[in-house]
Amino acid sequence: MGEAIVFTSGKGGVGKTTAIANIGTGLSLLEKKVVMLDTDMGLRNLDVVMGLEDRITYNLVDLLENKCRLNQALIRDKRYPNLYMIPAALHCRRIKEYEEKLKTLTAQLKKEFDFCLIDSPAGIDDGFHFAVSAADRAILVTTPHISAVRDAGRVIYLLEGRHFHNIGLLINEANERMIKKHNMLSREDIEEVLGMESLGCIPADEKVIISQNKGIPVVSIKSRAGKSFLAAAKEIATERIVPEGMESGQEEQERKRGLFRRKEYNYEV
Amino acid sequence: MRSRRELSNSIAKERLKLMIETEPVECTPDTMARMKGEISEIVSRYFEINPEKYEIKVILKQNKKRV
Repeated sequence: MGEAIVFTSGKGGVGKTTAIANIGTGLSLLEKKVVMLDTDMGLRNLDVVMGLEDRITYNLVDLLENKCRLNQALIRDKRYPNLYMIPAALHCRRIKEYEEKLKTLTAQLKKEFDFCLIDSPAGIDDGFHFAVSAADRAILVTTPHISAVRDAGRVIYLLEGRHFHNIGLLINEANERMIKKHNMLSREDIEEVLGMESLGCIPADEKVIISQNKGIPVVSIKSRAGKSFLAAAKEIATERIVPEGMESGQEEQERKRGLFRRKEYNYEV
Repeated sequence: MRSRRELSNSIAKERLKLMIETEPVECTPDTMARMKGEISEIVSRYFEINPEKYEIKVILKQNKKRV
């Protein structure tokens, strides 16, 4: 039984799609079977970042509406061992009505794949709730910008309201030179403010843009960002929820929970 | 050397802490005053208190983490 992980952020442009593309590729390089779902209807981009835009025939909405079969909507990335994606639709009204169907689809995908990564749209509207509805775990992507961190705080609050107990944090576009000069929030600063540990911190790297121009995930070219994305993928793979029937000891589970548990802060005034 | 308080990351951190800690509960001073009034009314039904001599603090907790 696989795991469905939604990548979300609140704020747009922080690198959700970049993160999902590279962590998805990274997980497949770690010999996991991965499917990436783009739920950013109308503004789909995962296909472009992956360089798979020419391979689209059917999309997620077609699949949810039973207009095609699963293997018709799945695009296999031939460059990697076990990597697939389902692109978003260009039009979708009333996305809320598809939540149940998405849950059924992810349940089906989890039987076949180790990881089902869901790319959420920006914002906290219906699209966000749709993307989050079928996930077992959420990974919050943020950058050291004050606005992105604030939105991340809002999203944590919303996710907690939806009873998400497993929330990971991924920091993107960290500029080490600015952090050294104390002119940018550091990984530790962000962890402190949001009250949770991060599973990775990706340095700002021109190679991300260069590789995306070419439609190649940055994990597969020699780069600092690629290295960090791969490390984050490893972190995600090892923190995977233990599949049913293979339960480890309670101690192990406590340890796992501990890593993702938010630090307890006393907010009373 | 600038003092720690002037470093822009420290300023951002302080602002964020304030925003994230207080944001979830959006309550106008007016609503808060009305709520406190009603609470003191209820409390005075059970205890002999003079509402003017007591201060009412409202602490909302969710998951025992946030105000």
